Amino acid sequence: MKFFTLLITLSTLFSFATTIVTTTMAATTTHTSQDKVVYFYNWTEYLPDDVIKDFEKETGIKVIYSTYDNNEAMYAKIKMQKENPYDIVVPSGYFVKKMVEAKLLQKIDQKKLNNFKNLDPDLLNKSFDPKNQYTIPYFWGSTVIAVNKTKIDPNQIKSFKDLWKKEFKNKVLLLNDMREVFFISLKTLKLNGNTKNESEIKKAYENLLQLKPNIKAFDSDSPKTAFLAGEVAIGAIWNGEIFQAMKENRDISYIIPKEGAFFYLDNLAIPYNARNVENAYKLINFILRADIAKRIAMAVGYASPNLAARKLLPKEIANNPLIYPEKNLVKSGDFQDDVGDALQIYQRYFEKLKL
Amino acid sequence: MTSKKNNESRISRIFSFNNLSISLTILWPVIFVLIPFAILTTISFLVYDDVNFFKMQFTLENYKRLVKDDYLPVLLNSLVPSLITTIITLVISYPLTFFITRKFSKKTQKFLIFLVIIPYWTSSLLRSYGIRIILGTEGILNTILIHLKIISAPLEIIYTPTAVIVGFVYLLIPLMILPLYSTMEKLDSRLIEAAYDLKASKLQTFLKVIWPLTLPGVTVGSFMVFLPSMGMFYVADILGGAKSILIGNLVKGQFLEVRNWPMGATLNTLILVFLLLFLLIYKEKSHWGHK
Amino acid sequence: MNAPSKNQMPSLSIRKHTIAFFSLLLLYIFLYMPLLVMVIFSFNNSRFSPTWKGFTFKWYQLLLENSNILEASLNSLIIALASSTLATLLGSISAYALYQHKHNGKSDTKTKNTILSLMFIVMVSPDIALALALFIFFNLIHINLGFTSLLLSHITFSLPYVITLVYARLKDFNKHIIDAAFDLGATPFQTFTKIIWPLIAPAIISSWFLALTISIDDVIVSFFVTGPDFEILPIKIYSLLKLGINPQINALMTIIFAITLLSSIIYYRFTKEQD
Repeated sequence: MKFFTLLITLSTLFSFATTIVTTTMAATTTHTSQDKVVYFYNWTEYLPDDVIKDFEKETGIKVIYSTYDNNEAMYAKIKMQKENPYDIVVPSGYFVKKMVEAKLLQKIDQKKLNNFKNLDPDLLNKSFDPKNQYTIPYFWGSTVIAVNKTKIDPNQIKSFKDLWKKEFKNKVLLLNDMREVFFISLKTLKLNGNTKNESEIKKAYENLLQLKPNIKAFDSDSPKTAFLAGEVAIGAIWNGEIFQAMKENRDISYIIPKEGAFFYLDNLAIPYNARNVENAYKLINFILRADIAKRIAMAVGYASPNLAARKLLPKEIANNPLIYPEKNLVKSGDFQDDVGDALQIYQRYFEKLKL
Repeated sequence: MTSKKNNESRISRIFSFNNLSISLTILWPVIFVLIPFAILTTISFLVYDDVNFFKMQFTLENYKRLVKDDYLPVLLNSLVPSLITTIITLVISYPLTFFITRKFSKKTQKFLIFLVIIPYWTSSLLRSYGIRIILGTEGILNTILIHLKIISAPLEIIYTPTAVIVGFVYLLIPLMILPLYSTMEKLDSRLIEAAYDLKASKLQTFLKVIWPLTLPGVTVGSFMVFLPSMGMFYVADILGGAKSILIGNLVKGQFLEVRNWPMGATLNTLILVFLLLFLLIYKEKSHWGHK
Repeated sequence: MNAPSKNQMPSLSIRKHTIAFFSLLLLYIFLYMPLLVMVIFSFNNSRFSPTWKGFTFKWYQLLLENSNILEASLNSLIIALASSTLATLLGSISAYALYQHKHNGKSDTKTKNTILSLMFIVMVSPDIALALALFIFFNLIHINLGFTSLLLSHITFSLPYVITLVYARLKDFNKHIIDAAFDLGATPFQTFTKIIWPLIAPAIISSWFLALTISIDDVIVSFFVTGPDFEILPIKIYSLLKLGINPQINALMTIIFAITLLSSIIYYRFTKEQD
């Protein structure tokens, strides 16, 4: 008992001391070193540590890196905080329009970014930001079909529609993301994957009810794990996930569905009330440099929109159609876009699907 | 408790900060619980807005949706796993904690209870993933059971409601064991011996002596397991394959997937109303705080 | 792990309680299995695979080089110790105040029930609701998100557990004991240290550990109420799941686990029976 009493007394003293020290420290750090920092708010593991360290060495600007894993949470933080601390954020394509509408992003001066020319023109000027006034492409990817060759012959799979086959009962994995799930259903019905029409969404929902007995799990945190653990035999997941799973297990293979892939594009952007705008430009320009973009792409594993960097990548990655799909496919594919208030309808049917 | 008054003055001599402490006791919950939740409940009566989360415009539409979109059954559905979890944790914890407090020295008791807490100082998410690896179709449990020839084909536990319950029980069991321990630890074994001396059977001793004396621990433990389990959503996602929707998942979906704060707030208010009903019924039955 | 103490309790017959011992053992196996998996995978030579791919120490090496994770762990430790201690202090005082509080000489059930209900509200609300309620509140009163808001939030969600545990213990506290102590000439300080503290200490210690546990594990509330200058470990872990379990995290958790387990075993070995 004495031990515990001592422990509690010590921690009491400790906690009072740290409370005071940390509070005063927090008050001073945020105000003094303002021109030497940049606050980067990014998706997790989307930027390797050594790149940050090199940037700090080269410019003397300290990068405060923090992460989120959900666009909506990032939006809430930027929107609600009057004194927003972040200088760079990375909204997904469909989210850019929303942030521009809410006037949360500032216009980007491309002249300040001399590495902007490295970017792939096919991935610029997308519908959510037609002239790239607000955003710089950072990473992109698509949803394709993964199969476990020991359980399913990949040659018999051609399209998303094959997921509906009766023999795949309780074998299918889908992303736990309503837009992704509905996209698949809409596409097999030959409808627009970004539809805002309630009756079309309803049709897609009814179609998904047929698929329900096949669905073993929804997972978008780490969908490859279910494949690696042998829990599922087939499913629609992100290409980068399959690529990493294939490195671990040769039995896993992929199919680019006949209906076309569903693309997403994550973008660098600067919030309207960023405090270290010049440093943000420096960091963005650094990231766009061919050698740096190559290093980031190697570490992250997803596809870089940086053409100059792609040339530096090892051939087996740069020419891998799983990571960098053919040009036509990219041009004909759908990019996930904002659906406005129709999102509520998607959500309602997605919940109904799970009930 | 007849001579209360006379004790009061003496006790307050020890704690002369009575008035200060009661105001502190009231202030903290009011500032950090009542006000934030009052704001949230207010939002539940506002109109959803795509850009600003909510518009300053009164509506009852969100509450109508509870009925219209069949959200009420979800609340009832998510009570089932919570109730099962509470019962299972109680059934496991009660005899084992009792055994610990009866058969070991004080020092060993503390050590054994401490061993229950240690696993919980590592991330619960990581442990949920650990459970997934154990329960997996090609996982550790199945491999052992097949090896021992107890089963012939692997059990498909993962991504089922059973896995969700296993996860709940695993994550919440210390919240049952700790309160049980703190009431059982001071249970006087002479009382039990006395009951035996009076020729009471084991069952009688339990029902008439042990159970009433440990009831406060059972109550607190059940509350501590039951209430948080209703709001835990990642267990259903990681272990249940996000296939079933519990009330916690619904709330999370509204807040984090579609940014519909008014609807999220409405669903949370529904949970709170349900809690208050539950507490009222409970108070009628057992007079919380008074014996 | 749970061998019965040999010397202190000679009357204990193991054979008589085989089933009980066996079930207790099962309970500990149940509790420690996922940790065992975590320990094993911290040595697995594979970034993502849930199957065994050979032994390696590299995750520990990478961890020691990963200043982000180490800094976040330190922050987590600070916030967990500070919040659990302050919550235990505040909670114990509150529980006592609820137990003692009288209004005009009558037991004030209304105040008590209101406060307990508020505590249950915190317990029953999904993390995300509490998180947003506090997030909106802090932004409304212009508290910058960071250490202070994080500490206040952690105290808030630990408090219910402390209050309910300590209050339950106090509720069947026999006041005559205190009476007797005074009659025998004890000073208030002696009465507190010799009588009251030993009686309520188990509940206070349990609740401190519980508060520590809850604080060290919270993700959702922390995510919303902290800022970029004060990142804590659970947030890092949670977001790292986006790319599958990171063996570095397994390694870190293995270290934390090993330290706590070893120190408690050493403490157990080298202390004497007090009672």
